[in-house]
Amino acid sequence: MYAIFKREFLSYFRSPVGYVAIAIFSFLAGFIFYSQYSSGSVNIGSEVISLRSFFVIIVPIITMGLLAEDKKRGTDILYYTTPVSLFNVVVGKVLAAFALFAVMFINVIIHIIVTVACGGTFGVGAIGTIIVFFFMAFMFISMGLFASAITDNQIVSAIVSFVLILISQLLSVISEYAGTAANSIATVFGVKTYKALAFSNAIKKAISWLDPFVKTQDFRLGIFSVSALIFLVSVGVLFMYLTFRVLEKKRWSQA
Amino acid sequence: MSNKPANIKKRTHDRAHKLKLYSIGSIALLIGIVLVTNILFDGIFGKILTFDFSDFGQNTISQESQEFIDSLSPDTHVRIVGLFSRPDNVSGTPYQYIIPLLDDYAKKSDGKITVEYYDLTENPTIINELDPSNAYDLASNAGNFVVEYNGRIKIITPLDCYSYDEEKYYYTGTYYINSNNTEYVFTNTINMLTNENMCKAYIVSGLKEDTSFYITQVLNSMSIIVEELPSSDNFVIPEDCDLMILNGPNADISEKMYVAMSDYISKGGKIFIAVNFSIRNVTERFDRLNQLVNQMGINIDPAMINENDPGFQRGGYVIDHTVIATDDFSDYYSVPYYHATYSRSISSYNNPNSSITGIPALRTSDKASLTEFDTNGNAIESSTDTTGQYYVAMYAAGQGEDPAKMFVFGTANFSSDEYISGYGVNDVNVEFFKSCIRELTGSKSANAINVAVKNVDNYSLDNTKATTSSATMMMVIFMIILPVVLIALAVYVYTKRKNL
Amino acid sequence: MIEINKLVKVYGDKKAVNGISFTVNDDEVLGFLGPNGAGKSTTMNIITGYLSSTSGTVKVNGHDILEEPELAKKEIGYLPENPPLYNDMTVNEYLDFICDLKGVAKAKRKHMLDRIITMVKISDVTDRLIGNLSKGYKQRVGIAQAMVGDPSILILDEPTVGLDPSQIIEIRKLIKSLSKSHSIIISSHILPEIQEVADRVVIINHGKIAAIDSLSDLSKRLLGQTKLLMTYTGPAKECAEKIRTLHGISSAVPKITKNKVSQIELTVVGENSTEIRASIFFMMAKEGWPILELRSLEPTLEEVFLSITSEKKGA
Repeated sequence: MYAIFKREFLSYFRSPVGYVAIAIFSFLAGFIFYSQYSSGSVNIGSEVISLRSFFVIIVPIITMGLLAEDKKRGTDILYYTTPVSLFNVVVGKVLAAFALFAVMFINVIIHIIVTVACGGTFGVGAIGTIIVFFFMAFMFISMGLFASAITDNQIVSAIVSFVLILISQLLSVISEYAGTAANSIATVFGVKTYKALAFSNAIKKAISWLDPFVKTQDFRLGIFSVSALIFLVSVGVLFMYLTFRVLEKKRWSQA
Repeated sequence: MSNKPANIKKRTHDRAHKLKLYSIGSIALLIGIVLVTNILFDGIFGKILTFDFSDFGQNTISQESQEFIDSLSPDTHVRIVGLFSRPDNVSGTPYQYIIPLLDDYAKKSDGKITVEYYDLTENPTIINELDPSNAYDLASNAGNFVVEYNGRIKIITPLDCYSYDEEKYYYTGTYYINSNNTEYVFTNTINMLTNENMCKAYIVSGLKEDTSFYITQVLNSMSIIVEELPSSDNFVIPEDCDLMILNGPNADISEKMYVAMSDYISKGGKIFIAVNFSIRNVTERFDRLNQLVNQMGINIDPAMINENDPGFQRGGYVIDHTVIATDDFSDYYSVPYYHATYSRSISSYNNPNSSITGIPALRTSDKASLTEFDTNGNAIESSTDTTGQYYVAMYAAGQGEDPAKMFVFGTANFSSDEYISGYGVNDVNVEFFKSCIRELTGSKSANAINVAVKNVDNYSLDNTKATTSSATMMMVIFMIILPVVLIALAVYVYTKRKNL
Repeated sequence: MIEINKLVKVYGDKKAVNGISFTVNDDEVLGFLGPNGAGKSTTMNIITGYLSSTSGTVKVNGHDILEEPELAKKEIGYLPENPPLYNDMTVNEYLDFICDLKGVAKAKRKHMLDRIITMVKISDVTDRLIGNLSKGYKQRVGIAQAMVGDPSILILDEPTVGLDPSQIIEIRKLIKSLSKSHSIIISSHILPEIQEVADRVVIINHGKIAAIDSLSDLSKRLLGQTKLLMTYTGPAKECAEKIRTLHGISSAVPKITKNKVSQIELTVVGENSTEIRASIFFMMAKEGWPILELRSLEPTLEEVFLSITSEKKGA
């Protein structure tokens, strides 16, 4: 695990990918911070929340090559034929991408220091958003890694993880549409109005229940919900396991 | 030889088949575990495992509210109804501090308080359910909250739940939220609605006064129903008036009003008057109002107080100063020091027709002086010479079973929106005001539940440090230098390693 | 020691490997031969644990590759057909990573890497980017990778493919030197490579073993045929025709004629070639064509391979 982590993490800095990703992140974070700073009040919490919406771009950049590139070069054979377990490979790769996020986050730490030095507040709400930021980063990284495992083409992998993350960011919108659609379908099939409404509401609720952003929104207010974090972790672990199974499948697949 | 391949095929597929089953099975199992765990944590442990670490516990009800709720009888059922569908994301909306707190009420009230949300277009029947006589026009209150108990309702808007700094608004045109009063408002509203013996106050309007938004809240919190009593040609004081308030009038009362109010006093009426000395009433002599208060042995002087004792001055201004409760009123609040600005001198008046005399309530230092003004609003030069102790508030009470009672304040700082919005409903002045109201209404007003207002997170920077030039510096460092250095590093590493 | 028992790997409806069993002894070089698509790489991938077999077992020094994969994999160094190299790493970085991957203790690492680097002769490129190395160096880095962790067994899949002749000779030398202390399985379709280094040969075709034998035994199995090469002074065609008439000679092919000296390749059928040699001698003496040399030809692997695979096909 350590071997994989070390290689992947260092490889970000052996190629331009890591620097470019950090540069993009620094610019975006810098822009958000500057616009808050120039208005005279800085809320680190809302900066971190804004940065979360760039996961959809940054996570695919970071994760697209993690496994797809190995498959393309044939270096994945090393994971199967040396005494490392495949799950440790998955963990090592996730940790490497996660560590890159931590490096990027140094930007925000600098912003926090500047804010506090300029008499601003760094409150419990901001701490909450930072916690959510990292848990969410973990979840999206495992999604990205999964996307990287199912193909040997980096571009395809990037697109898949982009779509996956985009969907999870738009779940609340999707739930609205799905609810409306369910309602009209039910009405077409002659279901009574109140029943159709209940049905569409149930669908709406079920979809938005999956929304990681809704689940964690109270953190910025200083309300820390353990179950929301459990949700993020469990989805992340689920995708890690799926990735592991995809790798494992190559071994026994007879297709 | 001929039947062997089929045999092999069956046997040879076993391992791959098993692995496939194991793979799919384990994934299905894990998804199941993830779902069950999340539903379990979400539904059952969700509430227990949610912790409010916010500053001031924004989203948790305080001990005071909790004790009040516990004191309600178990069969009490208070409904809090939001006239909108509950939003998923409350961050950055006025509901940010309201909805999570209401959840806490529901959670900690053992079913005495329920919180519901109804979209008025989807559930129009809720209007009739809450307000059958349509007295409150709930249809136009979408987005607001209704608190209902035993058929009695009160509407609370999100704006009611915050205090805004009116002075800052006056200068900048922007609302700055000063504090979060959500819990104060809701707890006291519930207190008011569940209190059977309610007393009624009328605030006289139409005398060029400012709004009385915050004292309405404060009075509500004391279970006092507040209504407006507009000045008009057929001014009548209603029968159910337990308390009349003139909150900072800048114009004198009419003859008709004087007559009605005199009549009210003679029947044992209770009046609270606050008249400060400002640019808006410098030419107003308040002759008729004076006649009224004279009946109670009090006089409103056409003179402004200058506090010359530096120990009493605030910020070095003679017109912004500390006042002290006199011995008779020292028990009104735990500290006897209050804050007055642009104070008008209130003195006792020796009324030949009455034995009632005014008792000083708030006084200045010994070194104060008065600036008197003539009828044109010009200061009389010589008037400032005499230094001494002056009074900023006086109290008078008649005799008998239910005597007339009156407070006259020479400052607006105890009841004006401008002051309360800036200093909050927990300010010492407001506490003193509440004691005065309690004095006037006697047992009829309940004790307010003293919920501390909560400060709203304030993210503003120190102006002296966050200057325009430092902002430019931030932009240059974080948006230009840092990314450019990183890109340069990328290019450097790439070219260097490329040729290794 | 590797024991391979009834290995089967199915892809779709096809059996890429169909019931292969053989054993590799300690410190033995086993040549693994077969045409492209015969199942060589698949077999090697199964042995190294990259693929799981549909059925059958592989035991590496007593550890089953499926049941104790980590122990089994520790014993194996594998050079796949495409060396698993990271082009964006330097040789040193790469070998360090492989050490991490195989869990080589930090203390042993430097000594071991020094030894391997000297052995595979890559000491002059250790700080260069793998992507910038020549094919031969890349192959050596691949072999170095397989040697990391001192496995007792090396499995090299087509180690010389795509190399130029001088590089092939280098790699061959390297394998020879390695064979002193390792069991090696080396696959190839380039026959001389095997011929030179292997102690035993396994030939597979269509996923089945066509032959397992030591090189010399294998030659003898050539259907009882013996090839003789005769050098003499005299005409080529005429002589060939005469010889074909002799009993026990199945073919006589004239090879070269230079300065009246000719060569004929003869194929002798039958258990005993001594009588035939005698009759050839007498015939030649009679014609007045003096025999300068008559020797038996060792069959090349090519021939062995062709005869075995074609024989199987025929059957």
